[in-house]
Amino acid sequence: MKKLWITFLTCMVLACIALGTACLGCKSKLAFNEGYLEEIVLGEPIMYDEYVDPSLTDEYTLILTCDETGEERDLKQLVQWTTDRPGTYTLTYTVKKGPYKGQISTKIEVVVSKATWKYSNPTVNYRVGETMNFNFFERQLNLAVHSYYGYKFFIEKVAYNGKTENLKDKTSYTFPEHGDFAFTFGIETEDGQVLTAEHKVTVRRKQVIEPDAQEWMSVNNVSVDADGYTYISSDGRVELDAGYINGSYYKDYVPYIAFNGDEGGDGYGANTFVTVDFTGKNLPQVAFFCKDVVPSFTNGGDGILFFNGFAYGRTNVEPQISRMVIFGPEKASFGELDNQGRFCAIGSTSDPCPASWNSLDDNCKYRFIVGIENATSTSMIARILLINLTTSERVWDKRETLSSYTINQCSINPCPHKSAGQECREPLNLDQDYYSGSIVLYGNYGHDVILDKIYAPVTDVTDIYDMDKAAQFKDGYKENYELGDSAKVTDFIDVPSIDYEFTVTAPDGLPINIGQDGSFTFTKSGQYRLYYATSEEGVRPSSITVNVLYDFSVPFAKDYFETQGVINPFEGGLLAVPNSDKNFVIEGETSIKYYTINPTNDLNVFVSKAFTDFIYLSRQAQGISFEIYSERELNFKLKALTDDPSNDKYLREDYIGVIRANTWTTVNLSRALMMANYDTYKSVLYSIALSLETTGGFGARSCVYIDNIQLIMDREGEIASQAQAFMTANGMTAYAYESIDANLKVELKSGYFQGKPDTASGGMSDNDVPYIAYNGNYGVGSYVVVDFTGKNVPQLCFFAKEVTSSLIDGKAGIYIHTGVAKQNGDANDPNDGARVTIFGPNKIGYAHVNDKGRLRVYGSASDISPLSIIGLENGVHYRYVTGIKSARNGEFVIEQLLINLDAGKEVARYVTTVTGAWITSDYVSGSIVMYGRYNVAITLDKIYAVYTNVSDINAIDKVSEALGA
Amino acid sequence: MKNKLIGVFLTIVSALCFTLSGCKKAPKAPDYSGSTLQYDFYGYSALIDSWNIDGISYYPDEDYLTVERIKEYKDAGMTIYFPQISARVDEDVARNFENSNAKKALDYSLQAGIDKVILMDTRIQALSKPSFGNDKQIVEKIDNGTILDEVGLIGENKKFKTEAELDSYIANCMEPYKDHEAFYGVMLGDEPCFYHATNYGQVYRSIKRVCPNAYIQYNLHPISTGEQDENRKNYFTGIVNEEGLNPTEKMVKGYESYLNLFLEHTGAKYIQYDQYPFRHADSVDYYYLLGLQVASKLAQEKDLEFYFVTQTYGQTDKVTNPRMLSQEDLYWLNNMLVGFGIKQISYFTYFTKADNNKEHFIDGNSFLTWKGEKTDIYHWMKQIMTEEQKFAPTILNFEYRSSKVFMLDITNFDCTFAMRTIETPDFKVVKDVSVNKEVALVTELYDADKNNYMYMIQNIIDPTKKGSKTYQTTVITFDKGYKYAAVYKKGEREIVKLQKRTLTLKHKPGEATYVIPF
Repeated sequence: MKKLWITFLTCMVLACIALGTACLGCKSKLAFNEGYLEEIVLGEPIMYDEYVDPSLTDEYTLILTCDETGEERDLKQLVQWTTDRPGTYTLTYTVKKGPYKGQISTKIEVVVSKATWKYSNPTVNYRVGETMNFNFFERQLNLAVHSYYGYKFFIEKVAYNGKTENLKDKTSYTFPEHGDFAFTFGIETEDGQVLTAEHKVTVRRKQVIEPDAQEWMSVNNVSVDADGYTYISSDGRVELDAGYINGSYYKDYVPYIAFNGDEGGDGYGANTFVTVDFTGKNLPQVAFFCKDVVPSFTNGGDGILFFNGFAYGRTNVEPQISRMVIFGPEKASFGELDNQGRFCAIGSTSDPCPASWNSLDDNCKYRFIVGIENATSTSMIARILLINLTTSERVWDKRETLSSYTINQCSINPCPHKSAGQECREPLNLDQDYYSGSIVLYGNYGHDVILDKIYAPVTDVTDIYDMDKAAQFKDGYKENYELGDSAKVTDFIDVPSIDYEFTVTAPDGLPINIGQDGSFTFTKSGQYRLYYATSEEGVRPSSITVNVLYDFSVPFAKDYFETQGVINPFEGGLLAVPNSDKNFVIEGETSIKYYTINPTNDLNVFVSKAFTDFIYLSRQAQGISFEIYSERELNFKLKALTDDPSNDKYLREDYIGVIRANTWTTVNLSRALMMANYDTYKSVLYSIALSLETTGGFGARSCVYIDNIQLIMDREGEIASQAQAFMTANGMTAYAYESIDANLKVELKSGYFQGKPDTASGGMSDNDVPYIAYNGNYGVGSYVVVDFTGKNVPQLCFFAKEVTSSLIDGKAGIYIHTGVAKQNGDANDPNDGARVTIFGPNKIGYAHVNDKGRLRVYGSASDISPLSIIGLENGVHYRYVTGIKSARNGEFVIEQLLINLDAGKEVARYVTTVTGAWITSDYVSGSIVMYGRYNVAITLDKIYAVYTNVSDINAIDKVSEALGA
Repeated sequence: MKNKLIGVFLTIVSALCFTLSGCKKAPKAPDYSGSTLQYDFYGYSALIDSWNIDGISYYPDEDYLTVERIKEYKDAGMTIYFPQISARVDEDVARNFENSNAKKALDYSLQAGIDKVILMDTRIQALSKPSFGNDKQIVEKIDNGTILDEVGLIGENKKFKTEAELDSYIANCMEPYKDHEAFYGVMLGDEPCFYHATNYGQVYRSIKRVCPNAYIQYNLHPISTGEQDENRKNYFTGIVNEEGLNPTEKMVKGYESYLNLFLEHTGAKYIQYDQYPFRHADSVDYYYLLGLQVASKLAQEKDLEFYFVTQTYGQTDKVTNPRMLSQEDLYWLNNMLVGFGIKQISYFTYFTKADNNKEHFIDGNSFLTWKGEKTDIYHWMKQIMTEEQKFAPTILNFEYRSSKVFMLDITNFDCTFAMRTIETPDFKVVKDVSVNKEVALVTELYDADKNNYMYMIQNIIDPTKKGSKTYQTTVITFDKGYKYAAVYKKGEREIVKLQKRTLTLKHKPGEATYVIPF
């Protein structure tokens, strides 16, 4: 029991000791206040009770020591000390006696607060002579300053047009001239920190309306955007300031000048045309039928808007600046300048519209005539003439029917106007009331616009050409000449009875002499301009250009094609662009060094569009070759505009190969290759691109070399001696052939033409076609036989009094035609390509394959003739027999037979009776010409001599042979 | 020896018993763990499509009416979407409502996870707060006593002959949107004057008849230094006799009559007004605290809720440097509102206010800049709202009872704003409050269901004052019988034992502690 008591007592005592110890430990710990400030901004006070609890004891000291200077301050005595020097301080807290006896210390940082700020980029508009109040400027800057201390705003200086003015202590500034004014502004905090920045203010010129102009505007009810013009003169000169888009298409602002019609009237209706003269890219945006005249394209009001540009700020945006877009019927109401609410977009980056921002030439003056014709509830016609007054050419003559427009939300649900994935094209449905209103000439986003002269609108115009009377050149003048050719003034114009001026300017810009007889000679290669003006009042001068082909007998300088930019490693770049942040080239002694700055998967070698046209026109030039060198192996291939096979610009013929490492390798871009891909890569400057690729792509500073750029020249055709003997014996001649072998297999080169064979105005011109001619006086009973494979069908001409390489020379001949090919070899149109057409009496006399001059057609797009270029089957061997079955005055009969040699059977047979008073005994005899084809080289497997005195086509040997008759 | 040992033993046991006597079972702590109450928060200018500085308009590069932007708004802590003018409803919008911004606002909010949208229907706003002419004409009408001749929407020679006609019009206005899943309410005209009360009430009651579940957002004129003298007459009272009243009494009486006028006309179950006390770089509006007391007292007397539009923007007074709201300022504002038992808080503004024709709003001083960038305020307020929602299940069970300011006789800083107060009831269980530095606010709230009192103790020194950032100690002494306290700070709860019935609290400016003694 005693032991039990002792044990119990011992435990209790130990427990008490432990409890007591714990309590003592709690009480005696010396500490600073929880959460005290370790960092204090300079100028703020250090307060003693922030750090210690004065209620604990009076027996303490609190010393603040500056670590840098050692200076001590008694914080207990001071209660607080306002910091006056940044740095590290030590606060020492000492309790001399009692349960808290002890000493502790801590570090306090006194820091200078770092001021920061944010500011906006204000949009402030001033003109010369106006004053900017700096308080106003400060408010527009919207300063957000984070500073412990207060601050003062200041404007230090302004720099403009090479000058600088000090603005310290100024409170406002009056702009002395126009231009960009860069203001240096800033803040200075009370503790001496200074932050500065710069903001540019664009100052416009003073607004001036000349007194006479004011009167003219008043009389003609012309209004102008009050803030948006700079100058209006009495002779119609108008200067408009740049418009802008303020963050959203819907928030646009565009200065304007507007013709509002008679005071109190409805304005101008349809068939009203407006004319504006301007220079360079200053084409106005024109809107018709505006009920409200507002400085906006996108306000949603009535209006048909002709729009040719778009800029964010002053930066232009593709593809808009390659187009003329016609918006409506609420101008660009959808606020989406590239899609919704537009009738049409004419032109593209690769094929810019002549009136687009891109196409307009800064060095030229223009006249823009625009209006709306034939306005009905469901359609209208936009008419545009753009005349280059510098060259006196009409560079754009556009007629566009406007009957539907794209819209996001159709008026009918579900939309009946679109198929899957397409936009709705809402049909036009307007009241007649719509077609009246003001005509508004707008400026442009991002650019000032100067209109040299605006003319009052002309109403009730029935023919837009009445608005542009020009001296007339003849239709169908010759456009291409060989070097050294001569021409006469009368080849181009009908000489008028009144005073006139006719000048010819050579490619170098120098005038050439015209002889007394009106003749002149083309002595230089390139483009000649012919200018014609008469003294007739109200008739402007006009001009045309003709081409004079290069003379290949004169050698080109060694680096001629390099310096001419015929090929260019970088699309859009110059030949040598050193020190650029873009890929660049430099000209070495022997080659172009072709560097990349930024890693890329491929490098493209571009061939200029001008050179491709040159190749096309100069049949002696068969393409271009150049050598490529690389330290890494490269693959090359032609590059298409698109990889989408459904796109008709998909690469038609590729050229693939390898550039071995460290080996100069020649690549040949042949005429045929270039023609086949004529429109697969057509940017503004370039027509074809050869892509160079290497495994892993090109790194920065990768380099390839290009050298020895040369033309591939046409060579004389090769003819076997046996063939020559055969042809001589049979009176045959050949033109533009590649070869004729001993077995009478003939390779004819491709022919060419300019223009468009399906276009009534102009049509084809300036053509040249290879041929085999049977010279003689072949009449009734004369038949020709030719074997060919697939689509290598020749074209035939009977009764030719003169053998020429032209199908459109207007000379006598019955021409049997199976389809014109475009530059790339494709059929010109589905009908023409599916037909056999017989033309006469002067071959394709009207230079138009689908219209006049046709005697008979067989087949159509829906009923394809087996003898047509579309109907012929690749790989099939054919025999083609054609001849004159009978003839008399007023009538002859042509017989055609196509035999499938592989099957031994007749494929097509046409017997055509042609009648006409022009068919005389003289007409129905002449040479027979077997022509090649436009833009396609063909191979005739075998030609034969003419069969004469044939009375039954089936009795001809070659027919019997094939058909086993 | 035995007796001595027994004596020692008994002495030790007695001592231990005495020492441990404090360890007797503590009273049960207040428990709100079963509560799911939450605040509603929303931001003014939750959507903008342009802004204006002194008449010059600017536009954003981005359309802010997107699901992503509303998610960002929700992520800040907001529970109601309040797009206002940029998604307004008017006649044109109503005709093509399906393609309108208002419809998008409703649809996108749902997609973003907010199912409460308050729309601004300008037709309803115009009815509730019609124009009575320009400022000069209005003053003339007030002075000659004819202003009230024009009020009212219903009756002969009025816009609507009968109440039914008005209801029909309101129903037609609300038809396009009232059944939308996200539709929560409509906004009446902002900051009406006394002569608008009749129209306000007629429109309010009509909406309630047409669409009883619709929330009607209205916001009355603040009481501030701007409403003294002439403005008090023009905004609150018209011509009244104020003879014998001191300036504070004039304001209190005028404002009480103004609030009562609108409460009587509308029959609304809540009071709301907006006030922004930090409109000057270095001072607090003199009537801010007074206004909170007046409105709280009225809400208490009429058993109404008190909602408030508070400041989350910075502004320049054009004289001194702009006041850039700090985190301390935001705690100062928000703690005070929570302490006054306010049940719904909205923020002015979310985007920097778009129009500054009269006032200069500084971009970068709201949740978002005009260009849609998050500011410090976005992050600070997100933290504050998160803390408040954490505290909501507790505080929202309490109703305001009383509020008092405790201030030293001599202060270092200007505390004028804390000197204009009204007499309020004595605290129930607090016996004494002492402050060691400048000024503290203590509010008393009461949960009748659980019979709990809560006290908010806040350091209300203006945080912008140089040297104010140090701690202020407030000692609060409770009635006897209280030994513990549930202490809430920044949403966190802690149970502490009172020291001789006192609780010592340390706060930096704006900070507050909420205490439930037990």
